[in-house]
Amino acid sequence: MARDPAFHPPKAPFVEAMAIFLGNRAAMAGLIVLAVVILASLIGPSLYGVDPKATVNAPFLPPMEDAASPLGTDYIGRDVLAGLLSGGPATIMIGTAAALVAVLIGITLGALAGYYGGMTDTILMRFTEFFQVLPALLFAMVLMTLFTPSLRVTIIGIGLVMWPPTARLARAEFMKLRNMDYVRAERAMGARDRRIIWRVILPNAMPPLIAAAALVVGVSILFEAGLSFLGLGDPNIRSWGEMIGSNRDYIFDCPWAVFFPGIAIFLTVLGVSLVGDGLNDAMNPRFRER
Amino acid sequence: MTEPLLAVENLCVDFATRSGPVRVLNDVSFTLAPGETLGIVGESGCGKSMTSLAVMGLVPRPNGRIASGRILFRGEDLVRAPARRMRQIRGAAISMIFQEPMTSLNPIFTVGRQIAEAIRLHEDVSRAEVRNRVVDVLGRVGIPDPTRRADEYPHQLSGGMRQRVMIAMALVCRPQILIADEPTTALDVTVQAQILDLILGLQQEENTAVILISHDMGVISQVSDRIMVMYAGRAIEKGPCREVVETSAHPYTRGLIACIPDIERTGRMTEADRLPTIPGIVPDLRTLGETCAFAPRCALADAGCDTWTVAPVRLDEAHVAACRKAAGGAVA
Repeated sequence: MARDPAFHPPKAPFVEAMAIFLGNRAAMAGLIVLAVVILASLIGPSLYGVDPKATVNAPFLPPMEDAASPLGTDYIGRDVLAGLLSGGPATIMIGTAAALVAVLIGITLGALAGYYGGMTDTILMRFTEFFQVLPALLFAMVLMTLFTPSLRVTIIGIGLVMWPPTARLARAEFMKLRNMDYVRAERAMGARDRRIIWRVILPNAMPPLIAAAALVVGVSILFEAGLSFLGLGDPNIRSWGEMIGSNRDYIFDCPWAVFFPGIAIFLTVLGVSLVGDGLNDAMNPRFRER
Repeated sequence: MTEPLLAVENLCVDFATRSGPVRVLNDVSFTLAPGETLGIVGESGCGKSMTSLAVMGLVPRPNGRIASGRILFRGEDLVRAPARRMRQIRGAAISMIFQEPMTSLNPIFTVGRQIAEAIRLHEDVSRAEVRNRVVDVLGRVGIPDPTRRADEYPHQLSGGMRQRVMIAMALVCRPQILIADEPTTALDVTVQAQILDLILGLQQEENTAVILISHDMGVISQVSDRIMVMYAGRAIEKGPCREVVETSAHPYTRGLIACIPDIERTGRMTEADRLPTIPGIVPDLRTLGETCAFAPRCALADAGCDTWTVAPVRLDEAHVAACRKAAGGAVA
């Protein structure tokens, strides 16, 4: 009898989701891209060994001309490849941390609004809408100019403008799940609200939230690049956005100094988005064939 | 008579609706003794489930509230008990089994873990001890191979198995009162009998008092010590099982009993052998006053019924019916 791979005993829901995720080609491609980017960021700087902040060569050096600077140099002679390698961790760290901030705020407010409903919901949702109607980029710019740009301010600033969609998603999930029979049963067992919210409903609401969080990471990376491009990031951190921003006046003299960080951002965000979509498909039961 | 474990006195529950407050429970009183089985019967929407939710302190907020009355659990009024105290009682002293075993278990945790949490919510015991009790209780509710089943997820179990797990969760802290809200309605007929037997067997082991809620008079009349029949938010007849079934005083109770199919009836069916039904539907609770809510559907009703204020009529020591025409009784 032929072996049927789909014929197997049921696994834990999470294991099942992982299996679906690992079988998704687009998500796997995204994961590989991300892995390459992260690996290059982690071991690249020490392997390449060129200081990204120092002038190491002649300015405006095009790529492939000098073996010492394979991707060329920018307008003050900083090595583009060194910038790319060292900008990776900064970019990914800021994007991930900002997304974390956004998701934490969003889940907390959305959970409370969705679970308690009524007045709590009204107040929290009006508050959310207040943040939603502010133009995000403008709001982030105001936050960045009010405070001295630093790593922390950048992360919190981006996090503060990114949370409303997560809050709305969390709220919708909680409104749906709070009426489930197993939530009622839990209450009949003597559980308190705090426990029901965080230990009973939240784990069930996690799949769409994880998928959404992955997409927030992608958008946060773009946001960081945008802010740095406008010169509002921390000038001491060489992120990809900062590379593009500092070279924007010389975009026609050394396009490579803008092009390569742009490609890096594009690939990273693409990777994050593919992984996010893959997680969504794997964990959203509607797309599961049962 | 022994001291009642639970005494519900003149309980009224209101729900706020757009067209004003609706009284969904009206002057409901009953008692429950240790080890006793009280059957609550009635059609959908008559207040059976609301009665059990009120006892659990789980009347849906903010739309519903207990308007008046007392719920005395061993002399302690649960209506006035603080939320903290209610959480201690729920699941430990008074437990509940819900109607839908398919959806009453959290899909992402193993059943063993869910039973373990029922223990940990109320008792401070070691991991190993919890595990032992989980396996033990799963065995007691008749789940084969409980050690393995404890590590399975709800979707791996059948409906009957899940209801057994629900019963295990409700009984693991050895409650004094078990409320079973239509515990067998969602199950196959063959499984229904097993589950009822299981509940009643465990009840005898632990001397647990059981409130069994069902719309099925057949089920209730077989297993209850006493029966309370509800209609439109009121307890319209209460009494020992035999008396309520054999000498029903309220026309609605008689209607429910007539609706039980008799499998032993043989021979040719005539028109008279058709299973009788109660004509009409449950009235809109918003339109009810203090007169008999069943009068519009009642074959015996006359003009006097439209003006008679509903009051319990005592037929004997334990048997009460809220019908003007209840034979020979005097208003209690």
